[in-house]
Amino acid sequence: MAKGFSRRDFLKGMGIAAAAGGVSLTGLTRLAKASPSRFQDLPRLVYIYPGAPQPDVQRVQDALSEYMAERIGATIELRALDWGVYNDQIGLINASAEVYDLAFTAPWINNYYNNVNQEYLVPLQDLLPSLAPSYWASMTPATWEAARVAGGIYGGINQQIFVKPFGPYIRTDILEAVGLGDEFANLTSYEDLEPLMAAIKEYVDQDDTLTHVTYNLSPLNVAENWGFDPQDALLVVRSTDENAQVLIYPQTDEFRQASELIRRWYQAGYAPQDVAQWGEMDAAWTAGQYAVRVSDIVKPGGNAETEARWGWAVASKAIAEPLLTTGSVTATLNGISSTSANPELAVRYLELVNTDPVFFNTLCKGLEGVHWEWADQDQLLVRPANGAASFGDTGYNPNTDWMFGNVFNSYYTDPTQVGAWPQTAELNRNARPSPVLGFTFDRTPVETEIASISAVRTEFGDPLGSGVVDVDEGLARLNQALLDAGIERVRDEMQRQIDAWKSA
Amino acid sequence: MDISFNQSLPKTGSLRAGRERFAFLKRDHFRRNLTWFLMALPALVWIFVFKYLTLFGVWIAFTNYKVRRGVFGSEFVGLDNFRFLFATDTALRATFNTIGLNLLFIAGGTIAALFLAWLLYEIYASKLTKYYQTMLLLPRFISWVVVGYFVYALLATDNGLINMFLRSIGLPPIQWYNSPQYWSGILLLVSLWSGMGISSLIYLSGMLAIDVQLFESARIDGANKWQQFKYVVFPMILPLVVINLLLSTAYILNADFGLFFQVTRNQPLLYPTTDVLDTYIYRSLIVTQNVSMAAAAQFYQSIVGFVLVIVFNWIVRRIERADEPLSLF
Repeated sequence: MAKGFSRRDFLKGMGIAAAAGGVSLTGLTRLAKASPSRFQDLPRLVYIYPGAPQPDVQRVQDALSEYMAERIGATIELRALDWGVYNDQIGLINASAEVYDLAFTAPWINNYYNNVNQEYLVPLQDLLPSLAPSYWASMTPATWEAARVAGGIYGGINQQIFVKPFGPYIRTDILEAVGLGDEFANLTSYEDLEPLMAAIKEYVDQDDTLTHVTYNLSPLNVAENWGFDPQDALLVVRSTDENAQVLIYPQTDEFRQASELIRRWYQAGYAPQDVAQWGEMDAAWTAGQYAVRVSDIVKPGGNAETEARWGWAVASKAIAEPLLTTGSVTATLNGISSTSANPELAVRYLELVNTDPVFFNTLCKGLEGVHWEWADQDQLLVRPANGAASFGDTGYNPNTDWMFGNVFNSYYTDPTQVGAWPQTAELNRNARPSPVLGFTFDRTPVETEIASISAVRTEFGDPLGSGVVDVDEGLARLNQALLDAGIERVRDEMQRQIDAWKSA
Repeated sequence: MDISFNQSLPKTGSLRAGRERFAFLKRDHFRRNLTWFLMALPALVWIFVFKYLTLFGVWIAFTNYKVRRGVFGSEFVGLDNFRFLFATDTALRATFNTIGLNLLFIAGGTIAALFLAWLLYEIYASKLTKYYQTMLLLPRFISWVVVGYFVYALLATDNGLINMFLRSIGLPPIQWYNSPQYWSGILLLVSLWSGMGISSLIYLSGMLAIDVQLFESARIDGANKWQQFKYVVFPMILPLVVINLLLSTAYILNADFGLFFQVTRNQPLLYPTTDVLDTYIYRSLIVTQNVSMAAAAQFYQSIVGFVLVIVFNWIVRRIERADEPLSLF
């Protein structure tokens, strides 16, 4: 700092800075007053959700507010928090009882069950039928039951793919190169995939850029792949078992079968031998280093989505039987905060966003003519507006339709997607409902055991899922560790709760 | 520490000389040391706000805490929240690993820092000293996530540097991430690399306070470097070493989560030697996200550290000589 800089100079500087700040503040206020504020007196709903910041969010928010003001007499404030901080920040907002109206919640982010447990959310089962009748009627009572926890429904369900038909994804260029397209299309089990894996292995060994057949084997032992509805803490219910008997998944024959398959494929060298490398699977896929993702959710439009997200054209084939489970229905919810001053208006917002395609698509894709335009209105197909190369360049593209509401109202963005929504709805309708659809486990009596099980399942379960240990030995150790951690107490408690739930 | 608060540190440099218990209660003490107190003020405020004002929150560990009901409105459940810390062999192993690895880090860290400080002291007149100090400090500021990738670049099986070297001289590669037996050593090295800079600086500042005449007379008596260290340096900075050791025992049950989670890439096969309380607690509670159980775990770590500090301090007081106090209080 310059030597002659006295305290007086400093204060003078501060004064100038403050004055300048004042001027610019006044400027801002004037600017704000100039913008349309016809709905200033209407209540404003604050909606908090995870997402990257969008340059044009203010314009979209103004348009949505205008639309909402005419229909439900409220305006909206869109408050997107960055993905990386959403969980922590919404937790803090909830804990400090900050006032807001709606937030995205799910078992996997901004945990729905914890939010219910902490009394952060408003129960909706009485409000929805009266204030959001079409939204309420758009899903079966069994579907709504899935969101019920401790006697109440605390979140609005976003309609989307509810079933998880898992199956392999494979790069089409490699599938053609090995000439096994028909075999792939006729797969009925993961064992059927073995000759294909072997053929691809030969191809990979001769190719320069490909390094492995696949990069991660652990999705193979996901319980849905083997006909189970997974519950808490490695407990499962067989999808065909009407008595809903709770089983310890690692004690089942299917788990052994999955572990043996994984072990075999690991030893055959289909995946990197260094499991520490598996964490790089998405980057390695984009770099074109492997050909098969052994097990992922196969859904209408899924191939196009995968290609858009990670590159490479793919083919996929569902192997697991489609099953409607509690977990899949509650995967995307919008809850209403118990600090909200206008819960009724928030419910009416849910009705609007889930049943009005115009409103919903404005929230998802921005303004017509500014951010998107029709490519083919009959097919409900849109493209980026004004010749922009992609939706990412238009200034508004959250690209999370599934987070905001009913995706079946979403306009298609890719010609190959057209028609995917009715197909998905069909899939949902025809899926076998799990015998425990709608049941949610209350962990409170066995939280200590669940904590212990969570700690040991990684240690002894993950090595079986990656195939690095001998199956007999690994299974014996996993099951012993689970018994020590008290899994039988959790199983008995869950069985008791399921029996009580069934007889209710 | 005396060195930072007592301006009238004797020029002979002995840290032990002139120490009086409760000197800070003397009347003109604050006035004389006003500058030092002002410098310490931000840290003191921080400690007061975050360590003392929050103390009542310990109660959360004994309740089924619900945010909206408040700390004292939530249901009291006694010691239930502590059960998961002792329920299984895995939990107990985590406790033993934490203590064992921390003892290893404390012993290894102290020896390495003393050695490094002695090296720096020997070349202190050199213009390069500042450069060395900065370089030694730098690793401290690299995030554990990045360090985890450094280590992975060395240890990866297919294209890690070490395995490429092993292959080039005709040895079989080692699957480091499947081999728990190596990891106490690897973690010790990484922790030294990261932490040695700061701790060696503390010892260096202690060494710089030693009267150079002592070295001269030692040299005239024919003492070699090791003898100078053994008979001059070590006795002179022993109080600093003891204070550092006493303070580290307070954290004996706390492990650096970043080190144990990121650097091991959370590989389950390494847990037998690398799973510490912090990683165990993380794995246990990431599913249920139970605030009360997390508070219980933290309370357990703190109370053990507290008891250990009291006990060790008591032992030090029993064995210290009356004219050479070493204990903290």
